[in-house]
Amino acid sequence: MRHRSLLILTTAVTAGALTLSACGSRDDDGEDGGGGGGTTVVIGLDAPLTGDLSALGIGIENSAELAVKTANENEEVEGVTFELEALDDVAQAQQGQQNATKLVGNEDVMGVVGPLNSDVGQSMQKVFADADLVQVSPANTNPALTQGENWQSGDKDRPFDTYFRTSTTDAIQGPFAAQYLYNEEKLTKVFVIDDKKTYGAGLAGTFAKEFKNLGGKVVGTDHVNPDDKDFSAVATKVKNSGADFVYYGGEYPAGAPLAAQVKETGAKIPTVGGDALFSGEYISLAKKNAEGDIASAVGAPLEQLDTAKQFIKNYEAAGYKDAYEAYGGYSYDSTWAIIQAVKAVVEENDGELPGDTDEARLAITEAMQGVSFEGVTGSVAFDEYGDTTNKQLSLYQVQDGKHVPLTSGEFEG
Amino acid sequence: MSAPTRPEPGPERDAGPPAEILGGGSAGPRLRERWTALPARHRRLAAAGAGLAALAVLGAYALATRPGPAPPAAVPYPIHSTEFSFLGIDPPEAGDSGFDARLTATSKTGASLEGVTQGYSGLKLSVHPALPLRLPADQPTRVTVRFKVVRCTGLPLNAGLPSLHVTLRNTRAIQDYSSIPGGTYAAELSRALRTICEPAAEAAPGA
Repeated sequence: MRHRSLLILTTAVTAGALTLSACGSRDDDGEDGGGGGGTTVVIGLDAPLTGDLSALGIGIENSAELAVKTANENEEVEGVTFELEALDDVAQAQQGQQNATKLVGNEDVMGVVGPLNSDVGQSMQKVFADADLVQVSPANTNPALTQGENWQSGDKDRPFDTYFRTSTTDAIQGPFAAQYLYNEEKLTKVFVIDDKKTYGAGLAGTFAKEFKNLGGKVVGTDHVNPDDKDFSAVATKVKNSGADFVYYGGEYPAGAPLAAQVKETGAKIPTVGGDALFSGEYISLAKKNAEGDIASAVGAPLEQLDTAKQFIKNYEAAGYKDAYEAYGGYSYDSTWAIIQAVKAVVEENDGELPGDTDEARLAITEAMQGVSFEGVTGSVAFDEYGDTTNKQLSLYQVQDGKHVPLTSGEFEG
Repeated sequence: MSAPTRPEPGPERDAGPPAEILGGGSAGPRLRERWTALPARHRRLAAAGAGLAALAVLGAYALATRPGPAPPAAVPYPIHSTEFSFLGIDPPEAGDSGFDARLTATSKTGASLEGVTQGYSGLKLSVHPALPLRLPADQPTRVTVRFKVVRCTGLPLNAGLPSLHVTLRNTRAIQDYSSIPGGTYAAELSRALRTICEPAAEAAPGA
């Protein structure tokens, strides 16, 4: 009996030890990040990696790189090793279009992440569509990119089947801010300024329309050159208008000095804007004058999303010098969406991509429509226009030198 | 081979008094010699004891160093696990100052609907069934929001994307957020409000 008990104990302990050993050895796999070898798939990336908007662009690049590294380490697609080719568009549409042409010319490129700016996105769409090369933007918010130029009249028409995005649109972002400021903050008079660009003018338009619908009054409007830094003339106009706040449709390089100069006139009113003001750089540029300013941003605060915790941890562990910023989580999800589309095609094609580049790109574009996974920013999937089905958004206010979440909402229509 | 069939050990040699063990053991019998000098039964018992001790140490080490049980997955925040779907607004009857908006609320993991408000002082809201309302996991629950117009001034007669401010609670958190039901809700809300407030402004509530 004693021997039998001993045998059972020995077996149990040995089996337990082997199980623990097996669990522990998984972490040792893939230290070199080599992936499966076999085929190399290049994921292109386009963003402003230099210039005024580089803080956002580098956050996009680093996060995409992290997704590629993770896919290779986990051998997410058997037999496929991913590489990232990042190009700098300096936030210029013309450069973005040149980059798109260059990426199309590289036969290993099977998908592209980016860009940041809506006008750059517009310039790239047709180039990618002609090559059936899928593009997933983490940051473009202009509704026309997915729903066509007549989206405001309800006549939605998707212009390009190759274009997708993981960020929600200004069609929701502007009205959401208008509702909050009018109904919750009880601010009734606004001075609306935009930079005449696709993103800025579009966002300011959706905001102003809803603000007026609610009963608010637009006491003044103006346009600025986004490359200017002296806004003293328009700041004086704002002060004289008696506005309760400024709504700025544009990006932080001009938005921050504009907000600061409005306050320097003695008008103690906040500047409110969209996701392109939601950057640590905005606060760095406007310094104390940023206090009280509000920015809307697509999605829920990453810090409040369970799905984002691992991303934040891995990003910190990777030692990137620059922050992931407003679009890091969306860039990771955009990249992962391409990886998942590649995976779907490989699995449907006997474990490998179609040998013909055109055929492979078309198959990946078609697969993207059915991609669905739990990403950093929540559930990732796309509707019939290529828009994200995750339509959360949030408002943040600068308090003590940081963007603090004010409120969140979700478009459930 | 099993223990009962094991032959009994033969007569054992008397090993005499144990030798004193000196430092280094060089002056006394070597360990091997002392081991072989032990009676066979003692050797088996010692070997079994040593084996058990080794297994116990191995087992204790394995238990001590194994990864702790994975913490239970956190319940998602209520606003991330609950969705509202707008079903429709029943238009107000002539002379009525109220109307009903019908919705369904579905929580993936179970939650409680604690509040539904909006930002206009001219509108009073009540909810049926009464709040707090339990939302069982994965089970759509019908919710009727009764709008009562008490004053037409300042109401959103043409809002593009009006929202409902919702308070949700689960075991993890209580959270407020804005549910934006979309364009159909906006159109039907505006139509209902205009029916009450526009046809006869002088007779409208609070005008």
